[in-house]
Amino acid sequence: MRLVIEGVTAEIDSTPIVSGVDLVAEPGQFVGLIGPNGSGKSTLLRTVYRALRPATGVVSLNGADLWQMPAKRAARHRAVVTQHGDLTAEFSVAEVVAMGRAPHKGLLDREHAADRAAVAESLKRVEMAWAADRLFSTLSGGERQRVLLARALAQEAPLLVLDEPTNHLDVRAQLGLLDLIRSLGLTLLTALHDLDHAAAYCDHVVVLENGAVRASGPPLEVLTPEFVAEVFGVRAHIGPHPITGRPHIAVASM
Amino acid sequence: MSAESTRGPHLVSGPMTGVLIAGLAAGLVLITVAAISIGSVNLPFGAVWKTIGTRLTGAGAGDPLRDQVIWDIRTPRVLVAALVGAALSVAGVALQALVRNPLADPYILGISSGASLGAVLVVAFGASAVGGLGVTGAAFAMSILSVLAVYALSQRGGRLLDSRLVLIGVAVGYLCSAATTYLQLQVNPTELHGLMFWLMGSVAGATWSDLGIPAAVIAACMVFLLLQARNLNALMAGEDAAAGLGTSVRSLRIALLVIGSLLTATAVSVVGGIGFVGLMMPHAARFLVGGDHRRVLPVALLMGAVFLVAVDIACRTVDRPNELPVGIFTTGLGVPFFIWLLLRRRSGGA
Repeated sequence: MRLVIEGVTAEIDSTPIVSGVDLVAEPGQFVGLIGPNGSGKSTLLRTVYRALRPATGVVSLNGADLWQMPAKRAARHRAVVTQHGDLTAEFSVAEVVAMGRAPHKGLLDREHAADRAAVAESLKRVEMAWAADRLFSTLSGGERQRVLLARALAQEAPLLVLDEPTNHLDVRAQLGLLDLIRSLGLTLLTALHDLDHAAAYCDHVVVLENGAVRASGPPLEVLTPEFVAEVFGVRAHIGPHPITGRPHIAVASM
Repeated sequence: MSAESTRGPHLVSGPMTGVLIAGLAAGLVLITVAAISIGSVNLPFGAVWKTIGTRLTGAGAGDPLRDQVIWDIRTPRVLVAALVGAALSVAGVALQALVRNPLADPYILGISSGASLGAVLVVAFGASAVGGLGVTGAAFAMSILSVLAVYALSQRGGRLLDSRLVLIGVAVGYLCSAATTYLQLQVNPTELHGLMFWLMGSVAGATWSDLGIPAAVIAACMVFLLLQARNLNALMAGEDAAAGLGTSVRSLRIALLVIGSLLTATAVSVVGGIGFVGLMMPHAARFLVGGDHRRVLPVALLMGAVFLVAVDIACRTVDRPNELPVGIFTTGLGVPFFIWLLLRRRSGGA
């Protein structure tokens, strides 16, 4: 699934938050969206998962305008893990994941064996099958995030959008989640906070600053020490990770 | 993982949900008959069954006076209580999904008071004062206006603020109640009873002709909500997550706003303002079957009906021969429940 964002401008209460953003995610690519707080990452993602209609510009999947298709069809093409995933009522884990089947169901459809299989398979992929009959609210933060990822997987959409999926997770859960989403073989568009994660996991990064694209390209080409200093206001050392050998960014305050 | 073989985390799940619904339906029938048999003169259960049976089948009638008491006076009143309980309870489910806040209720959000004001406007000045609308129509128009005001004032940056919602709802409700009181006193200073009716609610004096519109409105709203059950579930995950799951959040919310107002206005125009049913019943339903609206909706509907029939029995028997307004009981039970919910939320509960 090829995602193309072209000249997207998005406003909240008539205040422009994102202006003229272009971005391309090639099929199977892990694209990281990075930038300081308030740079417009979440707002841009909201235009991709149809929570906020762009004021101008087009978001398209394989050439089809995402905002022109019915909401359900769009949800069969792209799934999302949002930042605030808490539920206001008590649902079992299986029920939460089953919500991901909604885009595949007509108004009068009941759950079929195929839906239950998709739910079970999604839970297995995130290693949460054991929790199917638990209450979602009783899980830890890391477990909940995995369940919400399973819900997105149950949508069987080739594009997965994630908004800072590692927020509020402990280190082990953070790396576990990133390893997991990278292994899915989906096209990924992920807002990330941690530059080191972006360097180690992404094929391509897009840096937002004040709602506009400041730079984009492979992480090591974009995230030079000078660039990181200018945009993020920290000193950076870039080299191979001492344990994994993957690109590694160490940062220190100015 | 299949729902058939394993027990979910909810008190009632899988095939037991059907048993619960059947049990509630049976309970509704029984309590309806009990409510008909209880009154200034208690009538035996058997006589109630017999009268209902002969009226429904058209067979020969028994004692005509008793028949009339049962069929023309008591039965419609009890059925109105059941319908209003169901309407308010379903309105609560719709509003709680709309504002994604378990504290929502037609009364707390000021919708009931708005509907009362609309109804009283018609009673006071005639239909022409409100553009030719009848009591139900005016109640609906005013309830839509008040819910729109509450909804608009509780937002900041396009998002609904929890803390504001309840406060604004209560404030709007007070304003409408004040206007209602003023209008009633203007029109007929001696008729305090009517004032109490619109402010506290009563099912006394209901007739068969009061039943048609509420029944039709409830049926239509239930069909819509059941068809939208998956989208309502998605809404419980937040508007962004719901958008990601393929729900058209904006149009669904408009529909819920209309449905919540319509159900409330229907209930209010028949029985006046009755508070907290729409708060308590959806919670009780979710406590039993979890958050899935495909189960919450039928269970809440039946529980609301049973509850208000039971409350009506209490209103008629606690202070005989006086009859108390229904709102005294629903508020007396609802306010402690509301406070308990608030405290539980503040202490970091789910």
